[in-house]
Amino acid sequence: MKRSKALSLLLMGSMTAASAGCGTDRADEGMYTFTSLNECVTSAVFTEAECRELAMNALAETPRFSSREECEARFGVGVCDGAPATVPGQVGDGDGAQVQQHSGGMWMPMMMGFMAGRFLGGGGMMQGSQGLYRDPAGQQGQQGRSFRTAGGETVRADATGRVTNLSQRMTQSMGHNAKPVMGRSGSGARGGGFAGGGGGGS
Amino acid sequence: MRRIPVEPRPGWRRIAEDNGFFFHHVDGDVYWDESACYALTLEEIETGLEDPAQELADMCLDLAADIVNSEELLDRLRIPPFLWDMVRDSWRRNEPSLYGRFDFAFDGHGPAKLYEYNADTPTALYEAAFFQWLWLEDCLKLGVLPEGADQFNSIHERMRECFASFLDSGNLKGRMHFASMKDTEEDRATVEYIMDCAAQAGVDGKRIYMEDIGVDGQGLFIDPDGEAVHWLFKLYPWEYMWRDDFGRFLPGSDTTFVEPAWKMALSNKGMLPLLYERHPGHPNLLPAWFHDVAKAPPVNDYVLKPLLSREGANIFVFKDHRQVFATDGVYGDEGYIGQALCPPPFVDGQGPVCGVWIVGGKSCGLGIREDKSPITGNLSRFIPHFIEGNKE
Repeated sequence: MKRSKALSLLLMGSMTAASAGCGTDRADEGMYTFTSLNECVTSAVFTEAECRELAMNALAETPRFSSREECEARFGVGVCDGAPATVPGQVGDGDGAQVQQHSGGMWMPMMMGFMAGRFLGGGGMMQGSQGLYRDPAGQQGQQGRSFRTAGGETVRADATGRVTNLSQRMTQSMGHNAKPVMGRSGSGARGGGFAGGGGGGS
Repeated sequence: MRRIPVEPRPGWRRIAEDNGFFFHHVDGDVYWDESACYALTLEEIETGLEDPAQELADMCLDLAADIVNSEELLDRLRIPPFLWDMVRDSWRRNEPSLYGRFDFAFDGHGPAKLYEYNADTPTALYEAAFFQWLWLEDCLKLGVLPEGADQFNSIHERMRECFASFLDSGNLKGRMHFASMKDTEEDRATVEYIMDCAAQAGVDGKRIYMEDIGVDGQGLFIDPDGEAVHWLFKLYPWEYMWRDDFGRFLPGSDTTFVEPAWKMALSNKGMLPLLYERHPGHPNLLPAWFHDVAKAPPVNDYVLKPLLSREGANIFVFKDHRQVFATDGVYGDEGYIGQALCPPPFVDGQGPVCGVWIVGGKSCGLGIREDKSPITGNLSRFIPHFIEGNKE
């Protein structure tokens, strides 16, 4: 086969070009689950740019494994998506030339969504995110939904997506990517020196 | 290679938009056109396109080594002297390249002929890598395409691997910024697609715009949050950067760019005559030369292209040394190259141009664009392709 075996986009798609404006209750402590970028944006808890960054950070921290077996051992059977690398075929080899190649571990659990929100951390109010994966024991229903984190904790959310069993361990595991909610003060830097030239691409 | 009318998928526009593809029409004209497709045999793909593109990609690396080490050649390509050290250093540090696209005239009869190499900011990546793949899978499910149909397209997998290799090499530390210009839907989608591939490989990405890049007190590039820009994927041509106000900060910056600075040596039509000088008579190369108004071109029918140009601008077509066609544009100050005329093969009144993708140095996919005019510009339509299954 000369095409990719499985494709998925995690951040693109289901995004409308224009989205809701700024969030409400900006300094509010709270943690929410989102099953898509779009859900995050329409929730108006975060701006679109914040949603992108939170989703990206969550995705970047998704554990990666060099085999399906290792991934399934931790996340459960059928949950792991892999694109084992295909080395483009040698001349005339056709389908026979697919070789599994190690490139940093390309098996990962399929992300069902991400949790993001604000919590009190060392530096005051912090904002962070982490990936959510299938909860083997969970069910999705009208009462809410449940997931598990990469660390194995169960996350339960009510019908509005708000996490109902927030624990300190959960917020601690978001420590790597969390940052203070308050923005920086002016840095005195200058911008706008690029892109005088018009459109790119060829 | 055949052009076959096919039934578009029901609701394909919605499918496109659900997948973040909003530029399926451009200025009211269809850009993604699935009312037809191209059918190629495996032999046509492998012998006709994949292998030649791989060979050319390797030849281009040898050529880049010659160019970066020669001030005469850097000057001939009109790369400004203040960037020469940066170009050389980026080559010597072996800064990795992500991608490029070779455009060929090809119809399955005779060797593919190289029009040009889009080595810096190739477009139509998302359409080729992702949406074309989705089209094939959907058409197989719908029974529109014969069972066993395949596609020359492992671009997406190669992108993921390539970003993973950036991490494995230990070069990519901290976060990578991904920049395009504001207010272009096509570039937005392309950058987000690339960022998605990178994220799937574990790269911590941050989306910014070229316009918002700043410099700090030491002249180093920073993003709007004041964070250092150490790794920058830019969907923005090198020659625009060097002309911009901030171009003067490039040589002193501590930013590593993708595509790397050494790609300036290949993202220049001057590479066509240089490649031809080194490989005269190569079956996939058209005769090419540096145009000199004082000298008669070596052939009667030819095309003049600016050293630096995009999207089919400022192209002049000559037959029997008389100009028969020209496109407008703002390029050309740096001089022109000439290339023997080779019109796209006409298949059902359409002129397909085959774009073969190189990702991480490997030939890995095909996107076909067609146009009714002899120059493939930014209004060409993208037509999906498939590989016909083996007939027993």
